[in-house]
Amino acid sequence: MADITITGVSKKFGDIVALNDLNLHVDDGEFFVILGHPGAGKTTTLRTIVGLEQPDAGVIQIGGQDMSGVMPGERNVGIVFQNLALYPDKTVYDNLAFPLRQKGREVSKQEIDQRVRGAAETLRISALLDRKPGKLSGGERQRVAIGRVMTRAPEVYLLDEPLSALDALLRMEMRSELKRLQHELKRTLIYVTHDQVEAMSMADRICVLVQGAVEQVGTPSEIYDQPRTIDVARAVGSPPMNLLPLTVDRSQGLCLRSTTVLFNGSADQNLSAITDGDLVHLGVRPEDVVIGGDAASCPFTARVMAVEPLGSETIIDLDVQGVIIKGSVLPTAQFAPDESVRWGVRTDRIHLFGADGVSLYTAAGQAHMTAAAP
Amino acid sequence: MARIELVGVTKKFGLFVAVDNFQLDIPDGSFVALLGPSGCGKSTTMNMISGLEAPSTGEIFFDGKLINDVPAGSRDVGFVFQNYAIFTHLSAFENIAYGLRVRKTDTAEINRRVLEVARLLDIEPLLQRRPNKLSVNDLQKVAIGRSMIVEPAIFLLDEPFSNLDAGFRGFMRAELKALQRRLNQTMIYVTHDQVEAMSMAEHIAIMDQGRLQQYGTPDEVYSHPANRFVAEFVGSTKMNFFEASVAEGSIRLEMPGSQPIPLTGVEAGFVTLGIRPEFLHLEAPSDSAPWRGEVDLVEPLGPRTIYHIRSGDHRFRVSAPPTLDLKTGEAVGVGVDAERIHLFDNATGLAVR
Amino acid sequence: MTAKKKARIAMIARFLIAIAVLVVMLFPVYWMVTMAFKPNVEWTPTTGETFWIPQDWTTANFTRLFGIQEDGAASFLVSTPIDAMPSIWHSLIASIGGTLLALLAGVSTAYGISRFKAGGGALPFQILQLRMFPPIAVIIPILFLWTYLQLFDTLIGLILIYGAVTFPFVVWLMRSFFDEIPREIAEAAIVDGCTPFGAFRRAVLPLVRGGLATTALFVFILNWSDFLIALVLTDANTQTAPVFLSQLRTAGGQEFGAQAALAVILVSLPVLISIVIQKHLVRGLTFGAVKR
Repeated sequence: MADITITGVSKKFGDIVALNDLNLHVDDGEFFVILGHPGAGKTTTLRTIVGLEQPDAGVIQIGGQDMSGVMPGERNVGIVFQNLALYPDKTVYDNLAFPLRQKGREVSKQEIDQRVRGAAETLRISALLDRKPGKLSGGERQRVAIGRVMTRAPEVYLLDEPLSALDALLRMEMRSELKRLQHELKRTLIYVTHDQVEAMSMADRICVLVQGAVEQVGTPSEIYDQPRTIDVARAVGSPPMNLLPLTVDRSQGLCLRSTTVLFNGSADQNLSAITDGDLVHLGVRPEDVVIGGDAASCPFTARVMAVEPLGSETIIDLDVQGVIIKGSVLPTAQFAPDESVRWGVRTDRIHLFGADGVSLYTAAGQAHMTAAAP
Repeated sequence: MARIELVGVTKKFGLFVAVDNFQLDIPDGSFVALLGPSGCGKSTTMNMISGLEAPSTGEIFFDGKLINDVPAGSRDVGFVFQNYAIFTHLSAFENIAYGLRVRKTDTAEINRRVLEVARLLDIEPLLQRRPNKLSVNDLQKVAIGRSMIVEPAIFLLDEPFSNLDAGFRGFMRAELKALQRRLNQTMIYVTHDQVEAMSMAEHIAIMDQGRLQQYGTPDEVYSHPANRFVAEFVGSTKMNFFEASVAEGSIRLEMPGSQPIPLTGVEAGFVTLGIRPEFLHLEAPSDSAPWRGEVDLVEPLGPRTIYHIRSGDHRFRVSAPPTLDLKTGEAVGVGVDAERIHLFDNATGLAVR
Repeated sequence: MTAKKKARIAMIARFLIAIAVLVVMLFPVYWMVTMAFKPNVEWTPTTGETFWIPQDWTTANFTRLFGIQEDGAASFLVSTPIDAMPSIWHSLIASIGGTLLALLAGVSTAYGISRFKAGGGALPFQILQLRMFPPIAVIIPILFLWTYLQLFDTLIGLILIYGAVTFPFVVWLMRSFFDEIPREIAEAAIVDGCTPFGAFRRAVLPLVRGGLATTALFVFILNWSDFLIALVLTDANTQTAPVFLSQLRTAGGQEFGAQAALAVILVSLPVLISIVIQKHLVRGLTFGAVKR
């Protein structure tokens, strides 16, 4: 069993708090992605799991066993560093064979050869075995780094932003390859990245890490559709979720208003936590912003600030009282900068966050609010 | 503000042809992206425009004037590099002011212009700091400020945002685009990221292996790619390609269970069929579905989900709304939007339709 | 004048200046080498002409160094035989020994500083401070110390002092080579099952081969050419070659020819070593190991 449990782990580097009471559980055989901004503590988390860093507090368990005091080489964990760290003076073959040649591992020469060639074939680098890393392309080096972990066949694979240095096209290919590979190997894989597309497309579950602590863990759709805080909501989705600050007005039922937009809550709504004058944030993703429709679906007006054609969609930036709201429209729609347009939101897909950033309400397919011009 | 023309520009390094017979006409005040994979010659082209390299053959004109022999320092070009090339021993203020100090501008004027630029880039409070106390993002802004302040006629940027984190990159793109519009400056932006090129540029020049593949607006390049390379390179989800044959007014694939699609105006023969994932749609597997297959891999991206479909030996991608909750192994039918099919000649890669 | 023509003239001017500088710098070497092969006659020509190139090449000066007397060796009066061999031996042993000692201590210190930040921020500077004392300033106290420790005029004593004096150089040079190796390479080796020392030996050390060769050569040259320390700390028993050379006078007077010949021999050893280890002095060993 190679499940991983992290309990109450904290780690400081001098004055900087890298990990803050981290609690995490990764299931056996899962493709688990840790998503976060640079500096959130993702790499530190990986290094603590593999044993290159010791936590100041807390326990790391792999397969149910406490790993305190266990050397990295003994933990049955393999890691691919962000900068790969291939042995530049050794051939690809020797790079792959290196872990098997260490003392304490009685592996015969034939078996080493077998495992190295097996891994090379799976990763399609068999033709490169005699080359040195300096003569390989970025994608090839990436595969060798993965191969070096594969030959050891550990129970857990850790990958630290492995695709960040590859160009866009290669990244796309490697994404599906990695996912397929993990399916084949059936091993627990913890993948660290700041790229939300990678996280969304590959993960069985995503863990959003903010400032060294877990903000939320869930499947990609859970994270995307039911974010518990603003940080999680903006961590996935590109362009990120729009946030509109609104004031609560309970004088006539439940209203959320600003000078340009107004939302009325229906009687089914029960947001007792907020009162008159409170500040809330309305969260709506660009694909749920409607632009240029009829008066019913688009009760508000705004000025177009920018138009970004991306091919499969076009992003329109709207100026809503100084806040930029991004909406995604079909590429056929024609809007020009400085144009005044009608816009609205899909009220069955909105989110409401309190001033503290915690989610108060998620529409989740039910329209409990109606939008109206103020 | 200057119009740039490249006529028959070629650059060779020994036997290696880095840029091959490059022809480009960039109107004054426009934002052009030079897009291509690493090694395609875009940085070399940039260097020739700035004067850091001389073309082996061909001419470069600024506003109609031949500038091949004009040294880089005199060309009135601002350059922003990928790794910002900031002077580490000078404060942010001094870095930005550098160009003006070299030109012996008086102190009052320098102060005024540095503050103006800093305000434009939103780095006013950071001016007194040293580079080692600035974040990567702010350093890049200082680099841009340093090039901006001398008000060059042309702005060249070589992958300036590739070192920044994803969130900030998006922000800087919007800022740069707004800046360019405000200053109405001719800007040439080199990148390998097609999303960047698409979102910022008015025109995109796509290069591969030293040659210009296509020059057009983002929409042209996306919807009407000139050849297979452009079709494959542009687009957040790769275009699917199939080997196909055209005969008797229809086109068909060597895929199990696939129906021929009616097509007119194309010569009979073998072609490559290209279609983007968003122009395929999934339906229940039935005999009327043009193509059939089963789900091989599911990639949820949020607003849509990419399904990798396998049909016999063929693998392709379909973009579908997230509500369609299909699982690996499920059998599906695939509908094709015939209006959005691209055909490419097998030998030359050129678009036939 | 066109820009192109200006550029050409500038280039030619630069070339000429470079040649002039080269001549000035290499002339002493040239003179020394030719002197070593000149017979006595050409050393002190009665005709007053200068022999820029020896006309009567002879190896008498060289053979004189090793006890063989021949006509033509350049000295005022050829008298007692001299033997340079013992002093060359002593130089070799002391230099090689000192170099090895400095490398042993210095490489591990440098790695400790680079990888583990040993000694906090102060240690590297403190080590460098050691070298800021010109040896001449402390050589007398060291003489007393060495005498007390009975290390005066012993090879061990020389090896120890040479090692100590060049240790800071090794730390300083090797530390920057180690700094260039990303720590993940050693970490990858640890995760692959090496002990920290194993990781150092098998993953990191091979990558600094070039730096190691350069440093070893540099330190060896320092020790090999040392005059002052050997002068003070040795006597008849362990005299090294540079000291021997400076004292090369017999009843016949100062042995110019033998001195020049010995100088040629002493200088050629480091040159030979450089040629032999040339390929290890090549940089670029870490290229390809990490993403840039």
